[in-house]
This record gives sequence, C-alpha cells and structure tokens, in this order.
Amino acid sequence: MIIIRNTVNNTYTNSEGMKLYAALKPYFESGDKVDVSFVDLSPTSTSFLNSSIGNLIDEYGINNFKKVVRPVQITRSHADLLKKYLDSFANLV
Amino acid sequence: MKTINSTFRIVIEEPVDFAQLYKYLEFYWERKRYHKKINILITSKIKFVRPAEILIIVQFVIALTDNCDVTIYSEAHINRYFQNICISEFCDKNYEQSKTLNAIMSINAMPIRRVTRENMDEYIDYAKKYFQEICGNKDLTAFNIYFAELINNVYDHSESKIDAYVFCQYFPKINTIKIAVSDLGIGIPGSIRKAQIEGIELNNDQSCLKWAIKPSNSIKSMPSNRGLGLSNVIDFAKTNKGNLVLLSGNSKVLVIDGEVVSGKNPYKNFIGTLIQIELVINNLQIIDDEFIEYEY
Repeated sequence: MIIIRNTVNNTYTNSEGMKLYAALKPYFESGDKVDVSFVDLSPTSTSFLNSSIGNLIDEYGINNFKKVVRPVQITRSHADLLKKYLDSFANLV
Repeated sequence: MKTINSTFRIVIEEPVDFAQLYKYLEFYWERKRYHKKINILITSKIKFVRPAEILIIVQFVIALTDNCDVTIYSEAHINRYFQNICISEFCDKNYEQSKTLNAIMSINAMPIRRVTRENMDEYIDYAKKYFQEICGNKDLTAFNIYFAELINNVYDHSESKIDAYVFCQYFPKINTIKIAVSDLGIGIPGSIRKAQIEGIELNNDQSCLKWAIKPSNSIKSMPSNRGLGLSNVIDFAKTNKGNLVLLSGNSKVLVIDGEVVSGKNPYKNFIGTLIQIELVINNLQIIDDEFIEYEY
C-alpha cells in the first residue's frame, strides 16, 4: 500500500506530485495493483494531481490507471476532488 | 532611477481611488522616476478597507520599498485596524518577514504574508487549522483549494515582480472568511497573449479572462498543466455561493450568488492579478471523516 501522507510533504505543489508519481510508476510498469491511502491528507490541488495522477494517465491511459490504482481510506471530500479530476479525462478515453 | 524631492500625495476617497497606486507603480517602473516621500491619505469617506485593498496597499509599499518612504494616514478606526494587521511594518525599510506564523486573534485574521511555492503549505495548513477552530465542524476543503490553486497560478503564470501576497480574515457578523491573493505580474490576459493562444481575441482582456476560467483551457506553462485550477476555484465559489472578484488586465470576473459575470476592471492602470473570495461558512458541508468505498 502507498500512503500518500508518508510519500509527500504536501498535496499542493507540482514537485510533491512528482514524488507520488515516482512512487506509483513501478506499479504501472509491472502491471501490479496498488492500494493508495488518502488517510489524514490535506485537500489535493490540481497542480499536485497533474504531476502525479495526470502524468500517469497521460503515459498509461485512464483505463490502466483505474486497473492499477485502488484509492482506499478515502473520505467523501477527497473522493469528490479525485472524481472531478478524473472526469476531466473522460473525453480522452 | 531619478529621484523627485517633493512629496507625492495620494488621496483615497472612494474604493476606485486605489487605482492611483497602480498608476504610480506604472510611473515608477516605466518612467523610472520616483518621489522620495509618498503620503497615502485615506479619507473619512472610506469606512472600511477590504482584504483585496489591503493587498493593493501592501504590494505598493513593497514594490517601492527600496526608494520611497511611504506613510499612510487614515481615520482612527482604520488606523487601529492597520496596526492590528501590522501594515506599518511593511513600510519599514528594514522589514523582514517573520519566520514564524501567528494568527492575529484580536481580529480573527492571518497576517499578510509573502508566500512562495516552498512555504505555501506551511501558510495554508496553519491558517486552515486556525480557522477550523472558529468554524467548528464545517469542512474547509475549499479554503485549502482556493489558496493552493491561486498561489500555484501566480508562480506558474504571472512572472510577478514581488511574488504572491495573501491575506485572510474571518468576519463573525456574516460568518464568512474573506481570502485575498495578489501579484504584480503580467496578468492573465498578458500570459495568454505571451503564449499566443489561438482562437481568442488576444487584444481583448475580457475574452482572455473568459477563456482562462473555462475548464481545460491552459497556456501549458508547465507540460502537466491541464487548465483546471482557476475553473476549480470558480466552481467552489459557485457551490459555496460566496462572492468572488477576480481582476486582471482591464477586465474582471465576478461570481455573485453562484452566477459568473464578467466586465471591466474598476481600477485603471491595473497591474497583475487580484482575487478576493468570500467563503460562506454557513453554506459549507459538515466534516465527514468516514471512509467510503471509492468506485470509478
């Protein structure tokens, strides 16, 4: 499991998003599934999501993202932010 | 730079007069001349100074700090307010931002702060924690989002001469936090013109601003940018029914009662981007810490 809180210093900047990207990338290369924990996390900015999830979706596609990453320990407000962000890729599927 | 020895006086009688501060900055940067002493007189017609106007004053003082002595004169109650938010410290040539952050509890505000990408998390997280104590069980997600998106925008696009300045205060009578973020950069229309975006009237600031607030419109100043930050802010303001004022170039975008309206910037000679958002606490959801099963 990847606990985002333990992987990054904050959830606001591109540079911190890149750290999450680096932590997740091996799972996309191997095709293994990974649980990603949103426990005790501040709200995620779009810059943070762009550099982490957005870059992975650009590289591997939204369908692969959904196959590999399983968001867990996630509250409603984080889920809403994530869903809204992923919806922005809907027209690219 | 050429010094003018006389004192320059700026009189603020109504809110639009804050435009004179931008006009002077234009004179300072373009004509490369300045007055050794500048007095800003805020007359009794001004009953209160809004967070956005606070940042206009602070930016003005900071931009001129190397060369000009700026003194602010105002009515006693505004003077007291300025003392509370330590505005006079910015007028001190030796001013150095405190390394520690402390809320101004007497007026439920966070101090005016120069925020960089590197220290924005410290500011946002401290401020959120402080306002959470005031707002009880209300979900302040929007508070984090407003600051993170707006500060990132400054550093992604603005080329601001003085970085980003922020100020926020809780107003108990209306149970609202007012948030202001500003810069003295090239402005949103300026960055769009610089990127030579096709399909919009590049010389029309209003059409540039309308383009910028639409989701997925990005000048791609960073390859991963997707043009979601500003639209995210607008969406939160629409949902929260808190008023939003976004000024950039000679244009403005307002969110009033959930509706987006665009128009002309009330400040002539405007420089950079200035945004003020009201976060209406009564309209926020209750915090829900329960984990849910996430389904794609």
